[in-house]
Amino acid sequence: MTPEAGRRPDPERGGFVLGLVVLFLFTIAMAATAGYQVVNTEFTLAQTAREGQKALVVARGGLERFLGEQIGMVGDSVSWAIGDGIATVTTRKVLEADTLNHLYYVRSEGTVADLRTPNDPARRVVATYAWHRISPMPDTAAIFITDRTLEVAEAADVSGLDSADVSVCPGGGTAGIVGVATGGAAFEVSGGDIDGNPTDVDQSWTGYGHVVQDSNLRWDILSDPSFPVEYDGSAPDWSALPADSFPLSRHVGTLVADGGNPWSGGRGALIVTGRFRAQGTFRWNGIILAGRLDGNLSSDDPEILGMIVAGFNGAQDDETLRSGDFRYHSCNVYAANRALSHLERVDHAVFEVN
Amino acid sequence: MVARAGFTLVEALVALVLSSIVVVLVSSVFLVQNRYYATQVQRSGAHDVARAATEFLAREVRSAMAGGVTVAEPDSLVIRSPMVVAAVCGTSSTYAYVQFEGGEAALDQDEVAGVGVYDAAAGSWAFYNEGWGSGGLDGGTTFAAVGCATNGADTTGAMEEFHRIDRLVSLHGSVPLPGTLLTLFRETTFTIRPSRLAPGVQGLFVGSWGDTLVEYASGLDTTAGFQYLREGQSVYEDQVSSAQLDQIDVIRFIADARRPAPTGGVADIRYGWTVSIPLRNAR
Repeated sequence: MTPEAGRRPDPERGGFVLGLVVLFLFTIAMAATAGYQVVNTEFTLAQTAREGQKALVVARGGLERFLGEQIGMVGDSVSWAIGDGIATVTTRKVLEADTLNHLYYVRSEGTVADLRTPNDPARRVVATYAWHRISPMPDTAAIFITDRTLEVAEAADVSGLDSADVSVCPGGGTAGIVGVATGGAAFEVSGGDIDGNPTDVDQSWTGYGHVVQDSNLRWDILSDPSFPVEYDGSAPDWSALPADSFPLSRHVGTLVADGGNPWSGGRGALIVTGRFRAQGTFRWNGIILAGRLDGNLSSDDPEILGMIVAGFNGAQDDETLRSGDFRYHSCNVYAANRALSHLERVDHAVFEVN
Repeated sequence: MVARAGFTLVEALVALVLSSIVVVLVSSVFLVQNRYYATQVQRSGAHDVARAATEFLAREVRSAMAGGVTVAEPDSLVIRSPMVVAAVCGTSSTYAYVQFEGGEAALDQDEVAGVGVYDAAAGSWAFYNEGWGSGGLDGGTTFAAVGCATNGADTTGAMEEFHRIDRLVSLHGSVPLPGTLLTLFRETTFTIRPSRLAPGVQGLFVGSWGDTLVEYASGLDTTAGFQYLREGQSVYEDQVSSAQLDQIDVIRFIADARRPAPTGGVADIRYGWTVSIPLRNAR
């Protein structure tokens, strides 16, 4: 061996250390890979479970929203974005118990897409049954208020006798209803007139609770500005609507309806979330629901053919109606009532389809 | 002077010592990693047990119907939950014509434990145990869709969802009126007892009505079990008497899982959680 050869690196000696390093790295890599697999599997399972839970929440949210917000005729299908997913609610009518009460199967499918598996989103379905109450409000009185005193004076005329006869609609010409139903008192003074059947005034009501409960309406939803109403803040273009269309309209706040715009008059169900005062030449065919009812002056000449229910916002004030005709009209009430139809869930009947 | 090509004794000893240190270090790392991996596998297994048991149980409890808890003990729970809810949309003297999603094809017929009839006025269900098959609740489909369509049902594209339910006269005393809700329910028993598959730990045994209990999840700890919160109470109870079952608002599942210590480990691997599941459908 030459001296040069003795100073060259010995591949055997270098390879021993290199082997150890490689073994070391291999061991770490194996352990890391195995650990990653365990963690990844665990993560995937947990993620799948979590997405499924989200889909279930979305499905239930869609079902609750549909049942809570459904007003008017029941549509076949509607979708909403809820949280991270989409709820699609579909309905199927399964029974017409009578002309005013139909039973629906309501199904809500919640889907939540996972970015890693966009073609296979988590999916959950919940369903229940609900009654569609097509004419939810009972015909109680031409004017139905919570409490305090309502004076009908001078040129004011409140009548529960039916203004419609069978020539107007098949159900017209009823025996009529009470003139004024109240948790307080109602009087005729100075020429005012109250008529009704079987009595002019029914003072047996106990106020706010009765109005809210016996109207069978969800005032909290109807009066919520965020709840969508087809005609909100402005009257429909009546000329564009069929004559037999009695839509749902709403005015948020106080409404002094004097015959001018936007509420010169109309038909259907009108929600006034605040105080309502009928004056001027205001004309309405149908139902008016108001937070409170205000009186008017003898120089006014409003006419409401249908029904007024007021006091949803709590106690009334003492009021005096001095002019106008407030007369029950069974055909107008029936038609307007349909705009207020809603779904009433069957309790304890929600179930998870899958 | 002639160059020497070999190692001196000192060099060899130093190399041996250094090599030994490296080997020991590498071995230690390997053993630690291996133990860590084994621990993770055991922990993952325990986690799987707890989660599987929880998910299955939670679904049943969420869906449980009013009056649907029939046994509420520390280690045993029996729940009636709806497989389908169906509306009566027509009747004959013998049958109730009903609509339910998917119809018979979507029904796991072997799991049907009976029928429930809803009393809307009372807000409660009357349950009757009866199987689906021959001589049971299955009344076929003859005239079901037609009968319901006569009463206003929309059967378009869903004829298979209409069916006849038999045996209601003998079970319930009469055929329920149209508009009444029925349920075909499953009755599931959950019991925690010593595992057959993994000696030394507990197992969650599950069984449908009329079936033998099978071990659904193995590896629960002895601390696993059920607790119950009744209406108006603030403290969970280990069991509820049969007279108070209708008062249960929430069922708590203590899903404690346990796995043996991995090789080299000293303590068992424990993992789990406590989940409180409200009986939303029942209450």
